[in-house]
Amino acid sequence: MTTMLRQILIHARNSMSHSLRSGSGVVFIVLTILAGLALANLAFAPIELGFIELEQFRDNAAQGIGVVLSLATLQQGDPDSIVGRMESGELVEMTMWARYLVLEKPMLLSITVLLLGLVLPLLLPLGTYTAISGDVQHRSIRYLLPRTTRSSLLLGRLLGCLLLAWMLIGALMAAIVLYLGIVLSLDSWDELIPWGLRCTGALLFLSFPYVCLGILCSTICRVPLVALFASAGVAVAVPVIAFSARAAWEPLGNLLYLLPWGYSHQLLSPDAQTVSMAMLYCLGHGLIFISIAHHQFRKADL
Amino acid sequence: MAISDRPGGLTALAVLNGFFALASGAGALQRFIDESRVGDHLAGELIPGRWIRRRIEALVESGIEQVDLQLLGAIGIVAALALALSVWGLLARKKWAGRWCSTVGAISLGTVSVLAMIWLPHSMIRGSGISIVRQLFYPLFMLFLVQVIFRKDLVR
Repeated sequence: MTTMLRQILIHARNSMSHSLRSGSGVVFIVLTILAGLALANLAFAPIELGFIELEQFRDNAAQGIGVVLSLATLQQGDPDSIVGRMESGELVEMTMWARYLVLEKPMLLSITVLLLGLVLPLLLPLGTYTAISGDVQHRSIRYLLPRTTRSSLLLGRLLGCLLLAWMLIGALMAAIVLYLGIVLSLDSWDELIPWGLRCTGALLFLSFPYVCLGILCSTICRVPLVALFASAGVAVAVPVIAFSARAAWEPLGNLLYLLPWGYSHQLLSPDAQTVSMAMLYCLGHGLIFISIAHHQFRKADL
Repeated sequence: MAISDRPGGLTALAVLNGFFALASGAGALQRFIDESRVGDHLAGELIPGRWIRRRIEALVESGIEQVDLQLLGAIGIVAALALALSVWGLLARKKWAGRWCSTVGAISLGTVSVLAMIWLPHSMIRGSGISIVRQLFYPLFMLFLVQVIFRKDLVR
């Protein structure tokens, strides 16, 4: 057991070091940070450049977030009818939830994290697509397998990819919180730091199933680019198919739950029990993906 | 054909440096054109085009001097040349052309971003302050890669 743990840690360290030296790793790091900061810019610019008054922005943001939350929780109707139902007091829970994110918590941080939650599933495959398929394609995996077990190799690579993704998310969130605290100063540090930590935790949990999905695709596909397109394609296709199919038959909207799209927003819920359940779902989803990847990798002819 | 032992990260870095060299060169050219137009505006000549006139008026109102625009353009050109040279240096794994031209390019890019933030009006920076953080990220990350991660690969 200790030997396996040691091997997993060695594979994780090598995976991270290889990520920094490989083209995919460099592109993953640069794109994740640049896209993350671009999203933050998108959220901050209207206030910072004075395009809109703070109170008006708050009202618009509360309404917009309410609509997004309603769509994510598969409420009936199109965005226009959802706005009408929110104004008539029908969707009280969604309205309260949006107001919690905008009025009770640092608004710009909440908006940035919600945007990151939409974009991260598309960026994370960049950090995982070569994890297994890269070695399989170059046949270098044949030199590794006599010295280690397939399980420790897979788990080590998973740990390496996860740690790299978590470090990037941590650095990105630290930069955003520091900028909000030092430059914009709309919220006090007492509000920013706890909410920043909670949002970072939410993104770390959210990244787990998507990293596991990337590893699964990297295990199934032997060509790295195919693995990249598969994992990013699945992440995009699930919500597109779910919302399209829902228009034909309402229950098909539940296809959204094939990936964390259906519950990822609950990681920012005001209710602690809802948050705990969403965290458990994320872990469960990830464990399912990695179990399939493990099964596939153990019986693969390499 | 021999298989290259060049790390993939160096190739990716070379491509990114090429992209930033083009962007920096275009930015520098824009500064020189702006400088010339500001001179014409101050001499009382009518600048053609409503958008260009507004841009030049914003520059004059911000209090920026022509020499500042020339300096921004010159540093931008240095960054573009150093980054363009570093593309070849990184691909050929050269110490001077790869490692040190990247370093000069990174420092010049960072300097241009900081000076632009201090001197140019907000409307011209096209974004909030965090876009400056975004512009500073790549030079810093490039410095880390060429001076730490790929230090032993760029020795020829």
